[in-house]
Amino acid sequence: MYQIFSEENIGTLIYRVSDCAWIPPDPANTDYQEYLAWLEEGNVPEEWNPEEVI
Amino acid sequence: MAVSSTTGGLRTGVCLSTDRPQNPYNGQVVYETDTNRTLVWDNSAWVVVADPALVSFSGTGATVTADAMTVAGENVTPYTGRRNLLYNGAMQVWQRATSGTTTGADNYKTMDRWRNRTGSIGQSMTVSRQSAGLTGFQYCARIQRPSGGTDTGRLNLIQSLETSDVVRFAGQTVTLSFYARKGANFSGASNNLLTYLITGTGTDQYWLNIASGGNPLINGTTWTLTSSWQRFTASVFVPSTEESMFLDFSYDPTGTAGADDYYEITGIQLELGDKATPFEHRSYGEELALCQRYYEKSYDMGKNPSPTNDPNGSINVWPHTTTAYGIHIYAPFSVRKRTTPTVTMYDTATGTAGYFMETGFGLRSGQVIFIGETGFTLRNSVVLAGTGYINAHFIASAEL
Repeated sequence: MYQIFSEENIGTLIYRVSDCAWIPPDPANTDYQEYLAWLEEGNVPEEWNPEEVI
Repeated sequence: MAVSSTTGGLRTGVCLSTDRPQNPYNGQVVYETDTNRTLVWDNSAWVVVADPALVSFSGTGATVTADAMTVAGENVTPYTGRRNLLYNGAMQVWQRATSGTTTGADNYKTMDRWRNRTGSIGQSMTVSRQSAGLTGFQYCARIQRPSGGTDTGRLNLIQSLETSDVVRFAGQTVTLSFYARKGANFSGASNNLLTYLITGTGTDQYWLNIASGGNPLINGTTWTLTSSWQRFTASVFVPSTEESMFLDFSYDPTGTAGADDYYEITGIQLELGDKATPFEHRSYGEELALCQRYYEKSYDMGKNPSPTNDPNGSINVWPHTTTAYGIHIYAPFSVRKRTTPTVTMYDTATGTAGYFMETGFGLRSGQVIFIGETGFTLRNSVVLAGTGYINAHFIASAEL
């Protein structure tokens, strides 16, 4: 399960819910490769919502 | 035919080793046709200055034909470095934890640069740091199936190498060496430890991508373990086209695990050449820096992410605003990473992932932005109370 957050000056951030890790959109990052594979399976990330956390 | 001695000028002659000049002059040079050696008279004895039995020269370069090279009588062959192209081969660095259990997963849990993988869903394997009890080695890794376990899936210990390391092997013979022994209840079939060295093409590949269609240079070679340390070696040729590589140690457990269903391993070395030389020891600081290219934490070394009430070494700032997204804190890495890493932050009070600590208030939501090879920026995503410091620890992973 992933969430994404986009901002003009920041770009798109990818948040892995299982361990609260922030993943850079770098093709050489193996976590990002797993995220792309997850998308290819038809999954869709949710919007990251700070209101859901403290 | 003996050469006549003379008292002037440099003259070189030929002779037999049994029939050298009877009255040589200082500095006289002779070539022995029966030994192919060249000698010079030092005014008291004949000194060998060239001996093709020890060193030969050809159109492709010099070859030392003896098994060892000596300087001033000392064998220097085992001391010429950098020879070991693996990371953490002596199991010195354990940033994540010195013991950990992986269940039904493929991940990094304990020692640096070595991935754990279980073959069955729900199956567990424990990797822990142990005193080696082997001269020259402080630690070994124990790979264990927990007592009572009945899953018999394969248990893997894997190290992947990035392309910039692998290209050094291409088109050459390499030699793998390691020390291993088994526990009293080791259940590996026929007491065997299996080894795979698999190469492939493509830059910085994940090991499963290499395994699929890769080139198995060492393909399940079995080593029979005993309760005593043994050193095992294997040499293989790496095709010149190879760009990616992983090394895999594994065993296939059988039956129900006893209390000591494990093997231990250390001194793992992969080097150029067709002979295993003595293990190349590196200092702890050097090995740690090499490993931090792939993983780093802000916690002190003996603290596994993520302890409670541990602000030491954390990112710390007293903000001058409470605005959401208004506070940006840059955190540099100790070592530049292989690529932009995945970053997780932890609050310093409870060790909860995904949060930082605002002292006097509690956990706060934040984000990790602008992740680069040399650092990242932490920022708040909610309005702060303005009650105190911001504290956060982090881990950063750029593993293969």
